[in-house]
Formats: sequence, structure tokens, C-alpha cells
Amino acid sequence: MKKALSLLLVAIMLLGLLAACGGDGGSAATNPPSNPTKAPEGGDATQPPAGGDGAYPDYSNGFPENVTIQIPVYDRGFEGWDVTNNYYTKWIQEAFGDPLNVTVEYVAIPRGDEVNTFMQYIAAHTAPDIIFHYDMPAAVSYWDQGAMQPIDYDEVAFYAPTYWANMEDTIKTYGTVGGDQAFIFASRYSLGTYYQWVTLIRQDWLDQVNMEIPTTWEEAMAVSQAWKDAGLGTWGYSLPTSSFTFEYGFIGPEITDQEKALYLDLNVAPLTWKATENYLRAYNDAYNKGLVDTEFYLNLDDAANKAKFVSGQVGTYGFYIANNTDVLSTLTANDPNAKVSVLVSAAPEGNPAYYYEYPAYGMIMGINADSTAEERAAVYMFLDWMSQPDNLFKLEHGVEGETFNYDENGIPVHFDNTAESKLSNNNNKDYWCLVEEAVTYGDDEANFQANKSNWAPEGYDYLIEDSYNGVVANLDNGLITPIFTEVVSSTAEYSADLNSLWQEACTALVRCAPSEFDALYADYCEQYLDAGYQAILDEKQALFDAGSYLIVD
Amino acid sequence: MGKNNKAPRLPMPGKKGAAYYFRRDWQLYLLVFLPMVHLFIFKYLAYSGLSISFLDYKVAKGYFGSKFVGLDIFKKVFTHRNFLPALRNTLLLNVLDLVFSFPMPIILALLLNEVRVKWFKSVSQTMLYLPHFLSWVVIGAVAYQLFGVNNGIINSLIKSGGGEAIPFLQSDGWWLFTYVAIGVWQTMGWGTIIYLAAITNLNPDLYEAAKVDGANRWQQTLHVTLPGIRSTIVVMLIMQLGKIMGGSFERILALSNAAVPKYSTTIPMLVYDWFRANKFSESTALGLFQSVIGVLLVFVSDKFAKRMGEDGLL
Repeated sequence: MKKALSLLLVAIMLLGLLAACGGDGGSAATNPPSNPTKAPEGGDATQPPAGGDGAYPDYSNGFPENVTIQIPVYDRGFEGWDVTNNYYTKWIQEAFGDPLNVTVEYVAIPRGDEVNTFMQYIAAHTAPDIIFHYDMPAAVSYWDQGAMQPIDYDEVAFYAPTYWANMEDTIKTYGTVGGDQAFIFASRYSLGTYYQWVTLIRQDWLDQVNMEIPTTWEEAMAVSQAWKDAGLGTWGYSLPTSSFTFEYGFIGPEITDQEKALYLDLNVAPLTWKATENYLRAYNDAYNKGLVDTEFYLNLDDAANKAKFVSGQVGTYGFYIANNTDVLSTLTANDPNAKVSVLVSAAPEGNPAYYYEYPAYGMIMGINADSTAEERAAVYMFLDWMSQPDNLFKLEHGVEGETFNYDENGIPVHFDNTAESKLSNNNNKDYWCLVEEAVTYGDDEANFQANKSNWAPEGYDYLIEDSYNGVVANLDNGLITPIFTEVVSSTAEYSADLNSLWQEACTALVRCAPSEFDALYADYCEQYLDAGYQAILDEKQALFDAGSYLIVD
Repeated sequence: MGKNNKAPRLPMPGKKGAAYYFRRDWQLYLLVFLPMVHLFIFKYLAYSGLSISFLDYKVAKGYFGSKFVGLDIFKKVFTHRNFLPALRNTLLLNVLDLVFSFPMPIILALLLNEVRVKWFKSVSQTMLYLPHFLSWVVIGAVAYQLFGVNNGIINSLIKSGGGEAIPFLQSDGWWLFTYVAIGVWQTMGWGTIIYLAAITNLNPDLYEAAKVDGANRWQQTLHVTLPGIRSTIVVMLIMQLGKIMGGSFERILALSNAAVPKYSTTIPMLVYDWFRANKFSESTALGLFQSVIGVLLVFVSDKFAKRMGEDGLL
């Protein structure tokens, strides 16, 4: 009896295996990853190529059979906002989809869980036609998983001439991985991104201790000491856990291309680099004097940092400002005397205030490996449609009189409204991010004027102004991370392990007694190199020696 | 009259076929059918996913497109620098749980059993159960509010009394203590239910006999109640041993922070970290290793229990 039972169980398991494999095998056989070929595929034969050089079927009058394209959109959980079905998705369907016989389906991607969501879709072969991510290593990892198909530039240029004209240089510069044409991009007006990041400092606290806004690390710590002596809060600090640029201010005046190539990496903290050592020593000193938030390793998200700032435990807080932010209102509700100014930078004396300079691209997009030639064409046509200034304007600003009014300079200024055409809480960015990363109004000056009206909460225009002036004065200190033209495979392999080891090391090194620092730092460096950092450095060094990298000015 | 006829109850000569029993009890088989399907799909079909621990698994390529690499993934996992610490910590945390959390419900059940005031007994039982229904995320948040060094209520009290703040959750040794203590608090009430039920089933005659022999309350507990629930304790122990390689993932995630890496690197945390880094093959291999050890432990402890004269589980 027992034998029979175990036999039955084995049979059941085998059946399960077969069933699972059968399913996959089937879909693999019927759905081979399509390669972009210049010749129209079988299904297109009914549609004679019209106009042009005839290499691609012309769909400008609409597709003969309805084509459904799936477009991903970040779901940030805005209250009362249905990301896949709202005024703008309906308008896109009417204005773009219906005339061309295309159905545009939006697929919600939870912002905080995007990689897992995409991975599940990819595994089930139900991913949207565009697969995207803001960071290059993540995009490369999708490519590496086989989730995307190569891009045919001529095809993009044929179906999306306006988009191609805008983005050709960027795509040709950044879009290849190991020689394959992998990605297309949205453009990025990065100046705006820089001054939208505002670090607030408590002006009323500065007044109380009779000090100016600090401009160097030394001054900052003097301020923090004065705050401490006066019984106020400390300098805000949180453990760097991702997008590693914490060390930029501590690099010092000299940096070589080789150092840039080896150490600048948003995904891997350069623990063994001199700049990081300087950074850790500075914070260790401050920690032991009680000048920075001593529970920095518990501040792992924006909410934690914000809570400490608005409750008066710390005197500084950095964030992307928007006119609907609740930081300032909560702060003044808690402390009616609170006043804030902008802290521009606090690099140590004599060090340039280096900052992370964005490459010219915003969103990084690839085409799903399962997408057909028609779907590809429709996606490119969609990008082209969105690149038309009128369409982009409506997506970014909505409807005059309902969501915005023109001011005396002809700049659209948004206002609070409850119209049906109300924009999403981040001004529909998650729709138009496919073609550009920041709203632009003309030249830098026009952008600045418009952003001032559109970003600052009532009465806080000066924050944007000060931030803008600080950024412009420091513009020369941007550091561009070199881009490797090959996949740095050890990064994908080790970055997760290194990240957790980094968090452990940084916490321990900042908290240790100054006398223990040297030994502990040497110990962690050794562990870090063993845990994969040496492999990453070696691989990057080899690519650097071979010249397989790009530094774009 | 027919009801009293004993003849049909005698064992039938010769065996009946499966069809006979199925016809006779088809309603029961129908009832058990859906749970069986559920079990089959979610517990057995899911086994096929284990195959990715033998593949260099790429999501878009699926089971068939990914390259078969034999035991390479396991080699990689077993030589990973975090593997041994994780194994050690998993065992350490679970052994500590076994030592401190396992006896608590038994002691509590014995104590509750002695409470004679009905309303007091039920109120305390309910209070003891409550923590079981809190999610670890909530417990974690509350724990930091209570035990944090800078703002925790306990430490604020200590500091206002002139003492030094105690890093309950923020230094390695204290963290271990707090972790185990919170675990005991969370699980002890719920665990008493089974033991109380077992105690209720004991034959009252035994107590009367003990009383006649002159046994006091303590001796009754020691010589009647405890031996009476021994088999229940053994079954619970076997089930606990099966979990010794697992451990509560949410509990560690909710209570750990970057300052206490020494004991919080465990197998479930590694599985989670690797999964988040898209290392599906490694995650699966480690999870498989963990389950296999768990199953082995169940078999070993079952054998052991049988040798001790208990029924065991299998």
C-alpha cells in the first residue's frame, strides 16, 4: 500500500513537470522571438507597401486589422486616479488609436515594485510592448534576460520621423549593448531635475544661533554643533542604500577618467575608494560628536527623513519639490515659527561640489521580444504621435481654463481643479515620460520662470530661485559616469550582495569609535573586495584598457 | 429489528473493490475532491518550478530555453560568503526559539489549567492570544517605538531615571535577546490552545486516584497532567523541528536593521535578497536545500519519538 502511494506521488510530480514544460514548449514553438527584418512579414502581404522606399509597409492611413499595443505606466498609488483608464488614456485612444485602427492598452506597473512586476509579465510572456526602466543597469538586465528584441533604426526612423529626429543622436550614442541595438530613449532636460531637488535647512534655527547658511562641510558641522548647544535638532542624515552618489563631495579636486570608470556607479558603492573613506571619516567624526542623526541607519525611506524634519528632530531635508508637497505645511503646523532656506552644498573646504550629471536620456525603453512587426510599428507611431508638440502639450498641461491658464508671459500655469481633465498628481509625467523627462517651455530662462510658478507652494518661490541660482553657479562640477559599451556582467552578479554589505559597513564605520576606524575600514574593504567588488573592478579595468567605454560631454 | 442484526458488521470474507467503496461513500469522495485538486495544483504542480535550481534560468527564455547547468548553482550557493553565516544564524535563532518559545505554551497551559475563576481565565487567555493576530510589520513598528534608543518609550523612561539607553534593537547581542523575547511574547498564548484541549481530555478519574494517594496540586501536575499530554508535546516538537531550517522571514525583516547584521543574516533573508536581485536559480536552490533539511529533520525526530515509545507523526 505504501509503495503504491509513493508511486502515485512520483507519478503526480512527473505529470506536473510535463504539464509545466508542455505549456512552455508550446508557447515557445508557436511564438518564436521575432527578429526585426526589413522585409515585411507574412501577415503584411495583403497590404502593399505604399510610398517611401517600400522597405516597410505604410500604415499612415491605419492598420488593415486592429492592432493592440500595450504601454506600461507607473502606478504611484495616487488617490482617485485610475492609471489605465482616465480622461487622458481615453483621449489617447480617440486621438491616436481610433484613426489608425490601434487599441492602446495601458498596463499599470507599481512604481515601488516595477522589476518584479515586469519579471512576472516577462516570465508569463504577457509583458507590454514597451519594457522600460530609468536606470541603465536595470534596462541592461532586462536585455540580458532575453526580454527585448533588437531595434532596427531604419524602422524607427520610418514610422516615427519626428521622434527619431529628436532622439537619433542619443539613441545612437547610448542605445547599444555589446554591439546590439537594444534601446530607444526619452529626452531629458536635466537642468530642471537638478534644481527641482531642494535641500531645506531650518532658517529659524540658524537665526537662533546667529549663523549663516553653511556652504562647506566644516561650516555645516559648526552649525550643527551650535544647534546641539542650543538644544535644537541635529543635521539630517540617512544611510545611502541606492543610487550611490554620497561620496561626490568628498572626491577632491583631482579625478581621472580611470577613477570615473572604475568607481562611479549608481548601483555599487565604491567602498574601497579614497573618496568613500574620506566621507566615512567625516561622518564618523560627526557621529561621535553627536552632530548628525545618530539613528541614520533606520532612515531608509523618504517618509522617515520627512518625519524627522517636520517634527524638528533634524534641521535639514532634501526632496524633489512640487507645489502640492505637504512638507512645508506640516512643518509650520508643528512649529509656527519654522522658516526654511535652501542649502546649496556642503562639500568639504577645497573640494569641488561635484554632482551626478545625468546623461542626455530619460526613460530607457526596449521593445518586447514577443512583439510582432505590426505592434512594433504601432508603438513607434505612438511615440511619434506623442512627440508632436500639440499632443505633448495637452498631455503635460491639460486643457486651458480647466487645468491651466496662460500667464502674462504666455506660460501655462497649472491651478488646483476638479475638472474631468484634471492631471495626475505628478502632472501626467508617467504618460509623457516616454518621450521626455521634464516639461520644457523654451530656453533655460523660460523653463525657470515656468517652473517657479509650477513647482513652488504658495509663498515659497524663493526656494526654487535659490536652488536654481545655486545649481547654475555650480554647473561646471557635473561628473558624468562613463558608460561601458559591453555588459559588465559582474555588476549584475554581485551588486545585491555588495549593497547589503555596504549598508552593514557604512553603519558600522560611521558608528565605531574613531580609534577603531582604521582597522575596521581595512577589514570591511577586504570583505568587500572578496564579496565581488574585486571582480567588478577587474572587469571594468579590462573594459577601460580596451577602450570599451564612453565619456560624453 | 434489522438494526440489531449483527451479521453485516462482521468482516466480510474477501475484499471489496474500490468501486464498491466509491459507490457507497461517493458523497465523501466528492467532498474531498476539491481540496485534493487544490493540494495537487499548489503543492505538487509547483514542484516543477524547482527545476530552475538546475538551470541558468533566464526569465524570458523559460524552463526550456534556459541552459541546464547541473549542480553548478548549488556549488555557487554553498560557497557563497553569506551561506555559512546564514546557516549558523538560522539554526541559532530557531534553536533559541525552540528552547525559549516551545516550553512557554506548556507552562502557560498548566498554569491556566489551575486557574479556578472562570472569567479571569478567559480574559487572560484572550489577552494572551491577541499578539498572534498582529502582523510582524505592525509588531516591528511598535517594537521600534518602544525599544528605540533615541525615541523609544522604554529608553526615554530609563534616561529620565538617569540611566544609560539600552540598544535593544540596535546592537548585535541585545538584538538577539529582543528578537527571542518578542517571539516568546507573540507565540506563547496561541500555543496554549492545543495543550489546554489535551488537558481537558484527560480522565478526571486519574486526578481523583492521585488525590486518594495523597498527591498535592504540584504532584498532580507533575505525575498526571504532564504525562497525559506527553504525546501532544512530542507531536508539536516534531513539527517545530521541521521548521528549524525555515524560520520566520517576516519577523527578521521587520525587526532587523543595518546595525545588527551579525545574527540577522539567515537563509530566508538570503532567499529574499537573491530573489529581489533576480537570481531566481540561486534563490530556488537555497530554498530547496532548506526544505530538504527540514524534511530530513522531521524524519529523524519522528524516528526518535517512536524510539521513545510515542506514536510519532508518520
